[in-house]
Amino acid sequence: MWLLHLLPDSLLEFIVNTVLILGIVLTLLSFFVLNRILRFIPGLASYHTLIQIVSVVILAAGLYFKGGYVTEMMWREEVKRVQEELNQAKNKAAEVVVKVEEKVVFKDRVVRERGETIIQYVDREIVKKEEVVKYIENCPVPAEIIDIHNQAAQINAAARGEKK
Amino acid sequence: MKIAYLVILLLLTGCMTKPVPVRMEFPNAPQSLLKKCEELKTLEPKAGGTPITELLKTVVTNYTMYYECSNKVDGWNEWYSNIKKIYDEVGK
Repeated sequence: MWLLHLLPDSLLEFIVNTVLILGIVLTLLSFFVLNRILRFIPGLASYHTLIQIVSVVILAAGLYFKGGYVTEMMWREEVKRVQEELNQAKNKAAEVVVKVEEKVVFKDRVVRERGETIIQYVDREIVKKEEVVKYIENCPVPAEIIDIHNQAAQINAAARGEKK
Repeated sequence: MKIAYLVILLLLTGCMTKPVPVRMEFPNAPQSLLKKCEELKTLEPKAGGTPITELLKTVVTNYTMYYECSNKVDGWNEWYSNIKKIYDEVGK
């Protein structure tokens, strides 16, 4: 049936209907009319059965092609419908991408700005506070603590198989 | 009998199924989600000890980076659930 794709719809429909109608007409003629006519033509009377068989074969082929054609048309409609739905889905997906992109960019910007604000606040205010200055001078963070912090920051390296 | 088999076989070819010839592209993901999460910052220990404020600033930077990465994960989840909903409707 895939060969039907190569023919235009109108030509396909014409061929299928022609074969079917021809099959119906020939079958009716061969079974109900032709025998009465051929009775008077002795030379052709022996071909009566052959004509009937050919008529039935054409009718069967016509029915088969009609069934195939109807199925083919249903498939084409289905393909068209699904393709249209996919195009709509593609457009909706593009809208989702824009929406999510804007949301993530906005949230990232807010997070970065808040982080920078806190660091600026530490540099601007915290380091000037008397008790903090006193603490910084008297209690520097030991290298061991920094090492532990760094190890914690690089925990993921172990999962990647890197030695840290 | 052989002819009957052939006829049945011929008729059964009408029942053949075939894949629907539609082209589906994998949907694009937002560009910001395609960036990798940054590595957390570490701190160089200073001779004579590191000021606590330096450690604090590094921790704040790392928190910031964590939340940026967390936004990406949230973005992926939102993108996936929306895209799934849209494409599940196709062909119904």
